[in-house]
Amino acid sequence: MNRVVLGLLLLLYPRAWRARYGQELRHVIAQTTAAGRSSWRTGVDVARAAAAVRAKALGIVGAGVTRQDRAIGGCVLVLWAWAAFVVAGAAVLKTSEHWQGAVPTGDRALPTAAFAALVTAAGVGTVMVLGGIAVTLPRVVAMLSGGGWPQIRGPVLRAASVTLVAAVWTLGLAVWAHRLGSVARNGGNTLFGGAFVGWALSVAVSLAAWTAVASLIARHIGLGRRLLVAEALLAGAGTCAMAVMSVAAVVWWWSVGRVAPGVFSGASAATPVVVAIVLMAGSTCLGIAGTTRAARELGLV
Amino acid sequence: MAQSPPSRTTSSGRPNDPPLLILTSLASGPKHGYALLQDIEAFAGVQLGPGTLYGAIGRLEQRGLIAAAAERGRTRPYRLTATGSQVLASALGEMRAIVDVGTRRLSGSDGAAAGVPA
Repeated sequence: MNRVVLGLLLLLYPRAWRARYGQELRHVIAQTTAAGRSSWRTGVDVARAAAAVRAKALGIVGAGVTRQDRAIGGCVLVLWAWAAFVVAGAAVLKTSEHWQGAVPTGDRALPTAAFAALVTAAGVGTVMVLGGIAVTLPRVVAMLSGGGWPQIRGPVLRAASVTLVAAVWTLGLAVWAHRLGSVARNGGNTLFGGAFVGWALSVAVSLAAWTAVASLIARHIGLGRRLLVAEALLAGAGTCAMAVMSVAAVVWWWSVGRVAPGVFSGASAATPVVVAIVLMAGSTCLGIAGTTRAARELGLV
Repeated sequence: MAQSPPSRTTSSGRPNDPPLLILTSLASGPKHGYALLQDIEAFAGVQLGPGTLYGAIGRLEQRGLIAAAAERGRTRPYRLTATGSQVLASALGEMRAIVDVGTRRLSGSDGAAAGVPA
């Protein structure tokens, strides 16, 4: 297996785990691939195992940590689900340009109601997530005041760096888009299309980096039962919002596509729809899993 | 005071469960990672991936069922602890009980087989 690929695979593991087992794992991988085992199968196995180690360390899965850790893990899982849902939201935004103009007046009732439900649920979900962050702020301040900054410094600086890249990319793309016509911006210019995908990825990476920071902070601030219950309830409400948004989005797309099929035809329109549906469904399932885990560990169900 | 054996380590109790295979392999003596993979493939016909192996090693070590010996170059042998032996014996005993019942029923020597159509 290529050394660079091997190094990247090992980076998937938490730092502490790498320090303990990294060298051994590297050696065994080298021996197995030298003995003729498939490199790509080994890579998939290592990546999957790394994800399991990280998920267990976060308390998202497994029974090897305290009930409090498992409850926090459940709430963290909902946070990750929301982050993925925000990416889906961007895809929905992409498809929501100019749809009213394409739908005949007599057929607007259902798509308008569905879109209103989608936007309302998005607002409610956002308030829930911000509320979940707000209730932990005093603990976060206490952690930082008590010398907790070194524990989160690395991830915070990484998140800030990728956010800076995303911000610069956004600015550059906006300036470029301003100079292009509508056709070029919507699939007519391959280079712009590629840059757009790159920008979307940079924003997604930035979102993931800050979600990782929030997950790390959640493990270090020591929430009491009352705050954990509040977090679990907010997580549940956020998950409900995701479910409502998923249904509303599907109803909206279907009702628009039924009377104005041209709105969602073509790769530039159909691709975001498919991406959004997959992300929404997956995120909602993750949210349900996280909420259930938190609620069970806190004895709420 | 005699301690009852700890609860089973394997999450599923299946014969091809990585923790069970690792404990079984170490029952014949300490081994490092690659030797574990080779031994498990030889006696169980299961080809564990390195990631799966070390994920299971980490869990077993954390629970005190195996322990690491001193490093030898880039390898580190693992050995079965006393607790690990107890857990392995308990898991194998449970599996043996199921094997015995299944074998008896298939051979028809158990009266419960009367309900099975010919």
